[in-house]
Amino acid sequence: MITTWLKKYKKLIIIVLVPYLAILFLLSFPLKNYSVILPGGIHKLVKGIEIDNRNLNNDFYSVYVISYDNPTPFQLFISSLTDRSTIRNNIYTFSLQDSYKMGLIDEELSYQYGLIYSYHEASKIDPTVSIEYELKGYIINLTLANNGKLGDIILKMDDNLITEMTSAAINQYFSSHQSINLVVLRDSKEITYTIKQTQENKFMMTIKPFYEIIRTSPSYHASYQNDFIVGPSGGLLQTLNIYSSLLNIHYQDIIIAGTGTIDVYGIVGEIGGIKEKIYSVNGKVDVFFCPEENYSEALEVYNTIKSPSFDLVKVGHISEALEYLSKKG
Amino acid sequence: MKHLNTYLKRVKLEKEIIRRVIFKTRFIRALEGLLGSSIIFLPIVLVISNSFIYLNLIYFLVWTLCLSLILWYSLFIILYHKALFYPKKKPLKLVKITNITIFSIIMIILFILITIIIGGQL
Repeated sequence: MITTWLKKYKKLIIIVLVPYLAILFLLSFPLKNYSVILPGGIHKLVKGIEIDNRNLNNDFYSVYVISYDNPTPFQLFISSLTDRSTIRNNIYTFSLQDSYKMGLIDEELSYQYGLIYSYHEASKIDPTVSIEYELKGYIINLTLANNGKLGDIILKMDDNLITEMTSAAINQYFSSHQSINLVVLRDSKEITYTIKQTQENKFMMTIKPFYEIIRTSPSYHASYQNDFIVGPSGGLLQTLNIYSSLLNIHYQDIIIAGTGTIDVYGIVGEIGGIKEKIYSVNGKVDVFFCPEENYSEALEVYNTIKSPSFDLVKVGHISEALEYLSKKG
Repeated sequence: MKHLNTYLKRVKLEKEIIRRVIFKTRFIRALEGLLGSSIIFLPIVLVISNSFIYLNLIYFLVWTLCLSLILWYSLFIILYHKALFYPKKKPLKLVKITNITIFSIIMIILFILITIIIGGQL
């Protein structure tokens, strides 16, 4: 049948074939080095962590966006049609597996820092709350030049215990050495390897403190690994959620969302995709906490929304968010 | 019950007509049918799968994909049966309807499960 049709419609097939193949190309060829960020949604934090004998009854939500690497030309085109998306031309690209692993590490660290800060601060008010933890090492959360492996916990640098060095001393060590012998913890085993500076005189990797939480009172159960939402940007809200639960603070009838990384000192850090996050929360929440560094961009987007459903609040330290909520609640 | 029995008998008869064709020919004709239907539905399915970056349209897209797959299969069956006896025509209406109905039911069940899983993740 096909041969008969091919003969019958030969000219038509030749004319149609080129645009047809072009359409298939537009729909299936991935454009490397590009990524698209689109508005996502909100995610109730009660799903992430459970603290014994405490009710996590506040309406805390973290915000997620959709980051899509290597889009097809068609996806790039439909993304460019709306001003609610961002198209990025990346210098460095990661495999899907590595991107997800980096997100998982950042999420793990974010919860670690949030737990440490919350328990530590709550223990000042409620003596029954306590936490015991230690700095185990520094985890590699990003690597670009095959220097080290994602998730390795650095214990020693040229026989110097990294836990005994300050952040400034570690930075100084990295910038003053061409190559460093590392002792790392990988899958609970200690291994040794050497990392070298690249042509750009950089090690092309980032590391972050990795803590081991030995004991907490009350104890907690984590289930945040059971979804596909990863990354460090929920840190601020996770910490607020844990802290208010530990002290049984209930903010009545307000839906609270926000974004920003957190460290063990409660400092809120910069995040990406703020524009998409603002669009994601509109109509769904009453208040949105935004890191200081992202505030000007967030305000610009906020002002373009006709009747925003939420207050945009600038936060440099978690105490500012707590202060705002205590006035509200 | 009587109507169902008559229907099943007629479907069986139509299947017999198809089985009389040797396996190799049936296989080649099926490939021709698949090629023909793919030419039309591959870009449609690709447009839908490309649009999955818009998460707020996910339920609409999932069910559009389901409908497209059913239509894809329907066209495949129509072209396969057409190619099997081309240029002659054989009455294979009931076997077509039966196959498409069974495929549609499987797809709908599968996509209900997918929708439930997506709902749990979001």
